[in-house]
Amino acid sequence: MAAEVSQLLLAVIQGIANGATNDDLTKALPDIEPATRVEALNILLQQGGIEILKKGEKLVYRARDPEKKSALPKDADNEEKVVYGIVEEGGNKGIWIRDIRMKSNLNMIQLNKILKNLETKKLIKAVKSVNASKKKVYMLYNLEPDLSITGGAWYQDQDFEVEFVDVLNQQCLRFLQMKRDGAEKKREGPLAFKQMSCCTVNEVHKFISDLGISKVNLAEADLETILKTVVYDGNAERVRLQDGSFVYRAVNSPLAPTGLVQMPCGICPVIKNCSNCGDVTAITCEYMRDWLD
Amino acid sequence: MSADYSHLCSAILEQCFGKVVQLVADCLFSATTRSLSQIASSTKLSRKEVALALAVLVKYRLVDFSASQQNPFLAEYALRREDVLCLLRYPRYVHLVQAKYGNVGASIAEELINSGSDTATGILVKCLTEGENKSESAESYRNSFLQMITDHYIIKKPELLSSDETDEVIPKFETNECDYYRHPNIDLQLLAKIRKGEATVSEAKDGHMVWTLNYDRFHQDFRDSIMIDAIERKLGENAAECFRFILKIMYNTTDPWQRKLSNQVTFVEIKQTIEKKSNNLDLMKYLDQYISLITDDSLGFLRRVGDMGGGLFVVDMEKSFESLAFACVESVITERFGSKAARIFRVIRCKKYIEQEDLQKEAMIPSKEAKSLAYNLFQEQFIHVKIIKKPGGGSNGPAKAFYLFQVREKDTVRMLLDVSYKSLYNTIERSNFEKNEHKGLIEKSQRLDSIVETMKERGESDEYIAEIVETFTPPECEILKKVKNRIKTLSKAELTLDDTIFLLQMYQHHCTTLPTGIRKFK
Amino acid sequence: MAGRGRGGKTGTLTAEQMAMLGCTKDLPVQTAPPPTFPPVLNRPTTLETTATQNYQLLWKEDFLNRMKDSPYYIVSANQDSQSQEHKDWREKAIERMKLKTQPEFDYKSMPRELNLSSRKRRTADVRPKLLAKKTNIEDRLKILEQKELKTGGAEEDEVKQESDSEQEEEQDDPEAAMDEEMDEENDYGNTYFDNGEAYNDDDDNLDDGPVY
Repeated sequence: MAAEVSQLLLAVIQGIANGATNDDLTKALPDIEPATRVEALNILLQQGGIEILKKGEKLVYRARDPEKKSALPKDADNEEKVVYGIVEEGGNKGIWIRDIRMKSNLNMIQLNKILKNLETKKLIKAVKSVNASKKKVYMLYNLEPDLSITGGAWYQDQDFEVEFVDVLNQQCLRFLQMKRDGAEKKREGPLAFKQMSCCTVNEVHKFISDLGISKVNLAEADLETILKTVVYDGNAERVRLQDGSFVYRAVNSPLAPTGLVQMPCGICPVIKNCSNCGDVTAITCEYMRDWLD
Repeated sequence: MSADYSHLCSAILEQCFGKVVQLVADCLFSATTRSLSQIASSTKLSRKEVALALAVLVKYRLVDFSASQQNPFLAEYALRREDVLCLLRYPRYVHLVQAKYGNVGASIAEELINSGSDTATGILVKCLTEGENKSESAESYRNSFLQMITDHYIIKKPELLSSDETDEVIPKFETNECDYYRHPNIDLQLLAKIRKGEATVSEAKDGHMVWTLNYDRFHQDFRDSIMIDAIERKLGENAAECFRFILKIMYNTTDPWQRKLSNQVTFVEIKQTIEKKSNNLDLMKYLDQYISLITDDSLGFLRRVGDMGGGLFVVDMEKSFESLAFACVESVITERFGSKAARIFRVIRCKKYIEQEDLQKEAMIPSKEAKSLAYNLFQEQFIHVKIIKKPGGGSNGPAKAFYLFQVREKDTVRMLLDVSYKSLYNTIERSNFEKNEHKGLIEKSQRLDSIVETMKERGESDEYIAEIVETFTPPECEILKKVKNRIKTLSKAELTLDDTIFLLQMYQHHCTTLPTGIRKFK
Repeated sequence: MAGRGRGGKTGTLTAEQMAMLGCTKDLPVQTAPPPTFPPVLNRPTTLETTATQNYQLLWKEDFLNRMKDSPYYIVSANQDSQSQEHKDWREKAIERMKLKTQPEFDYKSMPRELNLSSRKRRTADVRPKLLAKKTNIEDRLKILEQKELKTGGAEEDEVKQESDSEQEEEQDDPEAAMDEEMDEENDYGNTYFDNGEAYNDDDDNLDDGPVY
């Protein structure tokens, strides 16, 4: 829907050389809901088909030249043009400064100067990548960074939101357990119990959405990622259905706490250093002393 | 055999048999075989002491001997290293027998443990004269003894080959596998005579048949109950009962120590057995469902391999103990490094090989924390790193390589087994230390106890007894109570540590080709 | 093993390789040796002692006490003489009790050298024992001869070799046996009877009487 609307909007904007205002757009396409319009405009911005300018108090949307797509001012020098071109090629995944340097053949001091220049003109921006905190990538100013750079729902300003993930993990597990407890009460044979204790991602998604603990909109794929962590915690299992989709169910560990962790040596951080001489021995051990008293 | 296991064996033997036996066993541990003279010269003990220690070790089935290849008159001794640990399992053996055959059975097992091995008549005489259940009839002792042979908890030792010479330099034995569980003839009338002192044990006709506890049979029960408990925890009581019957049927056709897979079991067999022996209606009603529940479970205990007889199944020992051993490893990681580390470990095991970056994404753990956890697991050898060199790395700089995390399962289990041996050694050492530190106090209380006991026998007045008891001051009482508690805690840890050790040893038996302690008389 | 992991060395990988794994970067720089006992994450899991465990604990305590008081718990001669004066009444009582309980060994099913009383007979009269060995070897040779006759042909050479080596052993053996006996004499003379009085007691118990 929004994608189709965006094409209509683009046609309108392209028709007005100085740029279209919001009023122009409502006049030209009166039956389109404001929300849909905003969505469509965002798509165009992401694709780089239009740009936003400020004219006095008003925002103006202007089509970008489809040939050059470049918003570089006419007075830009050659080096700036080259660097801008390289950054543009990187798309919304961005490009690493070292790669720009290699492609442009500029020296570091020069390159840094140009990049800073382009940044202040708001033509390009530097984005921190979640994969490596010290690695910055450059992309055109108006682009929305790719998920692989931002990390998606789990990142706030490139910082991984540990608490958020942990809460979701706990809530997913709680849901799976509730489902199993409910199934247990029905007593309709072991297979029925097993089937009833299985949850689809969709069910979990609904449960989490209804809880309202998430500020952002989580996709089902996001919850699948969380459900996998519940599996990796050993608290659930992933079952493949005949149609190839997966369901999840809570399980118990097959073992009681093993003997080794019922005494200090099993959880001792310095067991490697422990022998019958030296600083760490069964007799001098502080963990042993605390445990015995 | 690791250094950790060698220390543990040494400590166990010292605890049971004292310093001299410990020294001799240490010497034997480090070699395949040794002669008496070699042991004497390397331990600096007298030949007499060594001979006595060896006699004790042979008596308790901890040392084997055979003639040297170079000199048929020279005996060479070898320590049964795996069996040393069984000394710590004695309480479990006796308890198992007690649960199955009552106090009569327990006292038979106890006498067999005390004497290492003996004839049926010999054991029964001891039970009847020394045991705590003297009131039980000789007949009930005999019946239990024979039943324990039938059930393979007692096994016949290889028979001594009698030679013309009365005093063979190195006695020889004959092993006959069909003979292990053939009942001896126990003469109850003779037993009665012996008890009255009218005859001696040497007159009994079963003198050539010497019996001993069959450790493997006990271990088989321990192993079964680990598997059944696991099913119960995961799939409930009915599934556990179902699996217990499956194991029972499996043993009809499968050697209990077959390493990887059992022979086949049919659905019809399972159904018939359960109908005959169980009165669990729910299990009977949903039997096919319970079986598919076990078959589909990720533990992988049971596998469907065909459709004959309503379904053909095998018990997959290899997969079973892989699942269980790693459930154990994971629980250790959780306790020692936290649940996030356990998550990382499971991701690596599940993906087989994984790069650092993918690891943190899959585990949903922030990069810094994921790195440090993986690093700790790597340092402590729970996980490993595989390096893959990129071909033709170019002339400038070092060749590029991929570093992938992986779990080398056998190595991880062996490492954890060594940690367990070390831990068990530590509990024994610490216990010895506590006993030594407070030796005076412990002895004083023992002395007091025995004085009070004699006073009570003599019928002294309560006030007088109380006066004597009070010589033990309150602070002394306090300390003694503390020490006794410590020793009990350590002692309990020894028992529970063996759960971990046993489980990991079962992994080694069923999931590797390493030699294990499982053997009858070889 | 001790001290590994203290100097920042990382098992099998070099620092550079660890950096490739992304492992070293985030480790804090160590300026002081880490504490001997760093803080731990968890305490050991404590579970109720079950009835089964209680049964086993009691049995085990009993068993170890029984073993300690049995003649199979052997204390070294040297140690014994040192601690003799410090022994209290209980230890002495146990010793007396130990003297009463004879160890039970089924010497028939053990190598003869372990049987201390039978060895003494041999020491008293070496000749019969050597003769016994001789006859034994002669028997074996007879068996070998018979074998040779039976198998014949292709295996003949092999069998001959075998009997050759047996003969070699035969030559070696009496001497070896003599050495062994000499050894024993030394042991008895120098080490054994020079030990403390407690040990002498022990000896009386095990042997019929001292032999010089």
